[in-house]
Amino acid sequence: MATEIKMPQLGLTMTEGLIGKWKKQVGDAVKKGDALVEITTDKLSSEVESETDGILLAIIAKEGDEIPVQGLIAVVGEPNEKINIAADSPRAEIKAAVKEEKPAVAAPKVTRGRIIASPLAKKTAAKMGVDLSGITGSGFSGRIVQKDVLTQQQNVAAAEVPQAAAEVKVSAPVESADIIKPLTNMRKVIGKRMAESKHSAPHVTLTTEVTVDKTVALRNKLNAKNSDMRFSYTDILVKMAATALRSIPAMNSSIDGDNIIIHDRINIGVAVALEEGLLVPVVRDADRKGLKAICNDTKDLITKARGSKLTGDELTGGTFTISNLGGYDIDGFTPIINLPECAILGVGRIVRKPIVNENNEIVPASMLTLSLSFDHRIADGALAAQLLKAIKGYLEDPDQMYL
Amino acid sequence: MKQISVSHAIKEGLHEEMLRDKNVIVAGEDMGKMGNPFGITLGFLDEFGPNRVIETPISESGFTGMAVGAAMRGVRPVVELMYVDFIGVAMDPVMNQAAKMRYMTGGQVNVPMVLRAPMGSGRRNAGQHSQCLETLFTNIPGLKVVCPSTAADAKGLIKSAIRDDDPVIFLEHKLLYATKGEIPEGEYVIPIGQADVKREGKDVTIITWSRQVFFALDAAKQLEKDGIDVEVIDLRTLVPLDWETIKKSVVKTHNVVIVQEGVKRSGFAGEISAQIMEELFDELDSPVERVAALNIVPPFSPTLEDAFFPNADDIVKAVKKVVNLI
Repeated sequence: MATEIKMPQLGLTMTEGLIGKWKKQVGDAVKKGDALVEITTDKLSSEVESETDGILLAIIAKEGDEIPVQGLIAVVGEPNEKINIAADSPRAEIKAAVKEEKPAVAAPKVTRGRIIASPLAKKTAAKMGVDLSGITGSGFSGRIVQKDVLTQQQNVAAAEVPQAAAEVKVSAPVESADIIKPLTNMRKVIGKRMAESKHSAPHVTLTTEVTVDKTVALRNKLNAKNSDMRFSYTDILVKMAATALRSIPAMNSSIDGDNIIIHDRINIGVAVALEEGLLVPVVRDADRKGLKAICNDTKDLITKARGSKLTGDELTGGTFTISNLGGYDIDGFTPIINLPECAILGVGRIVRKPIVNENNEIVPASMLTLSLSFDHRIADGALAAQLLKAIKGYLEDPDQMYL
Repeated sequence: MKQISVSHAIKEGLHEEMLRDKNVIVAGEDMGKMGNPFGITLGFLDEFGPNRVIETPISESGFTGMAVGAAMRGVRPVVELMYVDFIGVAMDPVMNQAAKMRYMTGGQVNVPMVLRAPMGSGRRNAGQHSQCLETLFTNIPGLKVVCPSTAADAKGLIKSAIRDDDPVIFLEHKLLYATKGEIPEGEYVIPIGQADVKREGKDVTIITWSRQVFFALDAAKQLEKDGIDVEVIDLRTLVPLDWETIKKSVVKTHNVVIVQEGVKRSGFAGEISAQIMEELFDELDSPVERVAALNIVPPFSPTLEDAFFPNADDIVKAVKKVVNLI
C-alpha cells in the first residue's frame, strides 16, 4: 500500500513550502523517519521525513516547486508497486498531440462566477498543488480537464528552470575567477518576501537620535547584579517597544486585505542574522514579560535559529519587529517592513558624541539612532512618530516604564 | 473454431440443455411445426415431442403464467415471446409472480424459468414491434436480465440462464440472429453477470450491450483515426451489473459514453450513468454522455427509423464531444 508524502504544515500561518534538495532518489530504500527532502517555508527551513518504511516510488515535487500544505510531494511504497500518478502522464501527452491538429478556436472561458473544472481535474490539481484559477480549460465549454492541469504543471516546472538559469547568466561578464552560486531556497524566500513588502507597502522611515546614558547605566547595573544573565540592548528594546505599543495600540497592527487588524497580543519579532540568511523568531507577549523572561526567550530563540531548530510557531504571529545592526557599527538605516506587520524598528550603534545639554553646555553623551519604518496604508506619520517618541522616552529615562 | 449464427447458437444451447436435463421444456407461438420464426426450435418437436415443445395459442399472458406455475413445480421452462413488445399483456406473471415468488414464500419456492424475447429496431417493424424494453425488466427486483451480442455469448448465456434457479429475461436482438461468430468447441457456459471488454482503450470508455456493441466497435475504429483510443465494454448482462469491469475502465479512461438502443428517457444508460456519478465522481474528467434512441414511437418509415435509433456516427459524435474534439 503506497503512502503519500505530503507537504507538512509547520506553524499556523504556513500555506505553502518550497521544495529544496532531495536527499533520497526514486528507487532508494527509506526508513520511517528518514529525511526525504529539504523544505523552506516563508519562515524556516526544515526536512520532510518518510512516514513509513519502503521504497521511494515517485518524486512528484521537484526542487524549486512551491507546494501548498497537504500537497503531494512524493510516494513511498512497496517495490514495483503501481501508483496512479505516473499512469496518467502518457495519456496526457497523446491527448495533447491530438489537440494540436485542431484549428486554434479558443474555447470561450466560461467563468459563471466560479472555476469550472472536472472532478478529476480538481482532484489532480489538489494532489499536485496546481492552482486552477490561472488555467484556461480545453474541455467542452471551457471546462478545465485533467490534461490542462498536467500541462500547467509541466509549464510551470519548465518555466522555472530556464528562468533560474537565466538569472545567473544575465549578470555582469563572468571572469574565470568569479564564483557563481545559485540562490539558496532561503535567499529566494527572503528575496520574494522583501520584494513583496517593498512593492505592496508604501514605506516611510522616521529617524531620531536618542540620548541613552540612563539605559546604558541600567543595563550595566542589571548585568552586574545578575551574573548568570547577560541582558542585551535588544532585550531592553523589546521590552520598551512592547510597552510603547501597549500605549499606542494602533501601531500594533497588520493589514489583511481590506481590513486592519489591531492585535490584542504584543509579539515582538527579533531579526537574527545567519550565515545563509535571516530569520525573525518571535518573543510572545513581550509587554507582559519581565526582562529576565525576555532575555531567556531571545537567547533560546537565537540558539535555535543558528541550529535550524526553530519551529514554525516560533517564527509566526509577530506583530512588530526589531532589527538591531548596532553591533556592525551602523548608525541608521531604512528597514523593510516584515509584512503583514505595520512597522519595524531599526536600531543603530551607541556612540559617544558631544551634545548640547539643557544648560547650553557641550557635554559627552551616549547616542543611539532609531529608524522606524511603517506601512503608510495602515498608519500616518503622526501616529508612527508617537510610537517612536514613546520608545525614545523610555530609552532616555527607563524609569518611565514603571508608570 | 466453427462459425455459426446467433440464432443457431441459441438453438445449440437450448438443444444441449434439453438433452442434459429432461425438465427443460420450450413453449411459445409457432415453436413446434414451424420451429419459431427464426428457426431456433426447428426439429425440436420431432426430437423431444409435444410435452417438451409446446405450441401455444396467441395468449402470452396464459403461457407465461403457465411457465411460472410449471417452474414453481420444478420444471425449467424456456418460454418465448415472438416480440418483446408483447410483454405488455404478459407482465403480471413476470413482474408480480415470477420476480416475487422466492422472496414472498420465504424461499420455499423459486422460479427457474427463462423468458426469451427478440427486440430491437432496424427491421421496419413499426411502433409495436421495434422496441428495446430492457428497462421494464431492470426496474423489477427479482429478475435477471441478459442481452447477448455474439453467437458465443448467446449460447453460453442461454445455458447459464436455463441452469439459473431464478427467472431470467433473455433479450435477443432480431438483427443479430443472422450474424455469424466463432464459437468454442464442446461444452461451455458463460456466467451471468460478467461483462466483456470487446476492445481495450485508454481515452474513453463506451459501455453498451446487444447490437449497439457493433456500432460502438465501428465508432471506435473511426475514432482511432482521430487519435482517440476507445475502450468498448459489452455488458452482456444488465442485472446483475458487472460493476467491477465498469469501475476498472472508468478509473483508467476518466471519460464515459453509454450507448443503448432503447429510448433515452428513463433508460438503463441513465441508471449506469447515475451509478458512475455516485461512485466514481472524482474519476470523471467530463460528464457521462448517453447515446440512445429519440424519445418517440419507433417510426415505420425507413428514413425516420434510421434517424430514430443510434448508429456509429452518433457514437463518434458523442465521444468527440466528451473529449472536446468536435
